[in-house]
Amino acid sequence: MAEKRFTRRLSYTTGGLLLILIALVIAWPSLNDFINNFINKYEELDTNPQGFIDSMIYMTIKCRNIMFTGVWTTVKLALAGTAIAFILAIFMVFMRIQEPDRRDNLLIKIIKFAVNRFARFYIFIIRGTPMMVQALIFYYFGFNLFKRTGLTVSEINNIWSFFISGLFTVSLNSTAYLAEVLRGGILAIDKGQSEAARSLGMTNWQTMRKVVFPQAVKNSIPAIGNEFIINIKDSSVLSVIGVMDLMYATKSVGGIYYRSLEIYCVAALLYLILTYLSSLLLKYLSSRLDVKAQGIPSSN
Amino acid sequence: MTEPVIKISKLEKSFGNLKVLKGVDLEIDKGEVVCIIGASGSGKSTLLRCINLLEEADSGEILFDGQNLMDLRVNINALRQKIGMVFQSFNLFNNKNVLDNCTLAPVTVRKIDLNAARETAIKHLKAVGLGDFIHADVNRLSGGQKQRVAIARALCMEPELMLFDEPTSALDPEIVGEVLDVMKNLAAQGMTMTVVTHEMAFAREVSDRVVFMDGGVILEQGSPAKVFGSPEHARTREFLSRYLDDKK
Ligand SMILES: Nc1ncnc2c1ncn2[C@@H]1O[C@H](COP(=O)(O)OP(=O)(O)O)[C@@H](O)[C@H]1O
Ligand SMILES: [Mg+2]
Repeated sequence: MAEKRFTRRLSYTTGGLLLILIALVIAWPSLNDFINNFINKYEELDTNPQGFIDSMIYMTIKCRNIMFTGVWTTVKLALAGTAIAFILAIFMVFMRIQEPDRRDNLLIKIIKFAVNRFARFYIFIIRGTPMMVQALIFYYFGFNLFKRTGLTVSEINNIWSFFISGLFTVSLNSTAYLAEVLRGGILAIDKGQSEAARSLGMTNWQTMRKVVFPQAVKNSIPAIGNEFIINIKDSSVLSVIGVMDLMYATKSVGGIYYRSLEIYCVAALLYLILTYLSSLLLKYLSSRLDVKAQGIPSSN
Repeated sequence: MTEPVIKISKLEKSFGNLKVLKGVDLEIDKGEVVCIIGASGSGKSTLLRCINLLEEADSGEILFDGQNLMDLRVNINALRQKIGMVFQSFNLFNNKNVLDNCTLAPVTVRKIDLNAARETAIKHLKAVGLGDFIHADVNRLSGGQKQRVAIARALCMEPELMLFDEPTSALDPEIVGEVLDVMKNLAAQGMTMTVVTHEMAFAREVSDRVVFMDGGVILEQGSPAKVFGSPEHARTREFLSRYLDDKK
């Protein structure tokens, strides 16, 4: 039944896409002309037009390479940052949920206590400070560290580039939030699930890995997607350390033309497109996986 | 006389200030079917949960397989394999289908080859009448079917003792019978069983011994004929009459 419904939906989707494709092929020559004319019209202008919308379009077209690099960098930061953070968050949440058990031996008790406290401390610090401050600290910390190895400034800038340290920041920041997301997911799984597993002789670890965690991750997918959308927006603070993201690109373009309001409106529009497309994608993914999606989330 | 499968003595357990078990002594022999009855809140579930260490009792002894489960050094995972537990709320693994529910523990815990585990699981699933539901999603089963899967899942570990905590309390009345039938079969095959239940007819028919718990102690126990027919204590009479009234 479900399969049938799925194939039907698939055929609607492919059918729709096919129609659009055919329309595009037929309309391509005239569409192409239209776009080229549109771009050329603005390219040929010598000065930034007075009109608000005109000016927005003019600056975007003139500096489309910078703006595109900015968008692409933002997408890369959000995608890679969320993915890396997800992996790290799995480790972090396992540390966070460790509780010494009276049947553990002393060494295990100490280790569990230590990793639990480390995770709590990490999450506390990250969630309690702005990402902008974290970005600056990580950047300078890394820079000073490399400095000690005797590398020159340009060598350091190659290894510890703005992008790398920005990615580092997003990843470590999201790790804390995603660890809490996963912890919430784990706590939301009915205790009966783990009790059944334990009663069959499975260890705590086997129970977590085979029964609780897979269910927790599945239920967390919407929240993980939210973290991705948040990262699209919040990575804008990384422009303080010079990461060439959409925010930085916008600032540069604004600096060239002295028309800040217009270009920041372009930035807002581009961010909106990115987050909206992502939320659509998420909704689709969530419905496929039978979990509940949320709207565009507020910031961390 | 053979050793009992499990021997519990002076078991005590508190939750905070609430003392739930106030010194429970209970022995269960091999092949014996013991039904535990008693009012809600009398500590029946806590007793069962202490037996397979889902709760840690505060003091007392639980001897099983020659080991005291209260000893902090015993390998609880090894011991739990031999004690099957069936819960009121089934607790089937939601992320697995029927067959995988039954093979997960044998494969991960007992390291049995997956094909062999499947064969055993199918055998047990057929025995509980679910041969046609092997690949079904557990969330689509009825309560009675779920509970029968849960029983089959426990049996796949080849336990020496099966604990049932109100296995039919969450079921619609017309479905209770199918689960009780499975349990009757199991009893007939000689499985050692301890069953917390409010199904008095089942207790009377199937059990070798009925245990009445009240306020955290075992107030009286004996053959079903004795406990149901001529209870010693006023509390037992009161409970039974109230219970039989409620049911009718
Ligand atoms: N995990 C727990 N924490 C606190 N109190 C509990 C817990 N489990 C059971 N209790 C309390 O212990 C008493 C006995 O509960 P239980 O063993 O479930 O009784 P029964 O199964 O006979 O109905 C009840 O008063 C119950 O509220
Ligand atoms: Mg109970």
